[in-house]
Amino acid sequence: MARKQIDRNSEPETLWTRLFGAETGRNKQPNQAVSTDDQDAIRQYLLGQLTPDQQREVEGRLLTEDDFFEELEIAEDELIDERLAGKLTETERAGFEQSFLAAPERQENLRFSRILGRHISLPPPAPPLLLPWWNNQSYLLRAAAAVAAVVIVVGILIPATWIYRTRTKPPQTFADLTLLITTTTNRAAGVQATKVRLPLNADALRIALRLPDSSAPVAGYRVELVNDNGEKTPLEMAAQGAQAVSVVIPAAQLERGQYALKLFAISTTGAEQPINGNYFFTVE
Amino acid sequence: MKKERDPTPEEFEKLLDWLDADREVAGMKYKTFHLRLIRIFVSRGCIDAETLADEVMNRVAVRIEKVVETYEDPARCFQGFAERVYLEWLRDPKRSEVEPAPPILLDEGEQKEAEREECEQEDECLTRCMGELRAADNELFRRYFQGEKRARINVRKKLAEEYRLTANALRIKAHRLRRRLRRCLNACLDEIRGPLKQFGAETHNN
Repeated sequence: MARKQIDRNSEPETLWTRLFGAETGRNKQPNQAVSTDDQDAIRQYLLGQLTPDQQREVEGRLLTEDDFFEELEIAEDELIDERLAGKLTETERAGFEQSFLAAPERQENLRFSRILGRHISLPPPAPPLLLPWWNNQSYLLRAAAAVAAVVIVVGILIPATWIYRTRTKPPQTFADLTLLITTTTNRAAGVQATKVRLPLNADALRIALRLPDSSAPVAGYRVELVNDNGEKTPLEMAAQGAQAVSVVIPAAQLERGQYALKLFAISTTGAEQPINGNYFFTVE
Repeated sequence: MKKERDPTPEEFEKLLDWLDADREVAGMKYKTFHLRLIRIFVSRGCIDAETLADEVMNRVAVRIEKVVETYEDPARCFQGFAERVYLEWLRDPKRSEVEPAPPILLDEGEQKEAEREECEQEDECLTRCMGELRAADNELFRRYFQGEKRARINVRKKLAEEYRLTANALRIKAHRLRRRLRRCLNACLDEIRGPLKQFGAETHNN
């Protein structure tokens, strides 16, 4: 890792220069004390790609050099942005998820970058183009337009809302079921599936899936229902907790047969990892 | 991992003396080493980075008599102790017990409502924080982080010309503004929600 030579005379005397000498002094203005080689080294360090000796060298400099330390912070932000923009290579992405994102602080930085991305990409508020035109119209015309608008809204929105509500009424009553994960894949090998009898006598079947023990932090889960024929249907998550997640299957969608629920862990970066095992149940 | 006892006031005084004869400078050095050790442990994937950095500082302080005789350079000393603490942490079977707080169980409707509310709060805070930047900084920040690929490269080139900065100086300036915004956002969200949800603890000295 090559170090760029710095003109020590150009730096003002500050507390920082008194702390660690002129080479590491922080200027009020951005400087360029970190070379591109250093930038590469820091990036590799963050992705866990350095040898132990190189890692020690980088860490030694992080402890004493302000500019080098600042570069670490910048590189962290840039890596997060590149991950969100899908610009990392396969190897970098693996390093990012296994090494870089392990610390909760970095996961929070990832959230901050998402907020920033959402905010920055919002277009600035549009100027009120219609207002001058509207103010120039006669009172009679403006009153007629307002009445017409009210009629249109009442005439279209109210029936549409009523139709939507009656068709998508959420289930009110539930039959509850709790399932444990089974790592045996073959049901014939002795896995006793939990049974559900039809009719359900409820609007929907609510299934709580007990989560297996795991120390890995996750952002969320996804659940897939697999029927006898191997057809997969994604299920919407009803609730998510530390020990269990729950899904709801409307009674009208339940048919007799054997089912398996497959659970996927979603990392904070959105990457999915299937969880080993299945949750079996039978509808009779 | 066996935890070191807290240093006595005398041991701590000796540590500060070793770091610098000027007490103000010694205090700053102590704080700086501590903050940077946290960052190093974070970079090594340690969830409890702050506890590990505390442990390094305590060990050095408690052994200060021997440390003074063995090490000339405090940075090398802290680095050496950090290496040992890290190896002990790796071997510690209890380390997996440190987990982030479990998510709060909410039903679907409540969850969506909570998410919507969170987004609104975040946007409101960020708008407020960006409003606190000087107009020129606000403009620079927005333009620096806007756009995609080629367009973004061109915008940054133009920005550097306009502000008479090199590409790297512009990059550093933009990221300093970004850290400032993150700090401001944390403070703003703390104000609204209480100090439970934060976005990246700041470990940088200004």
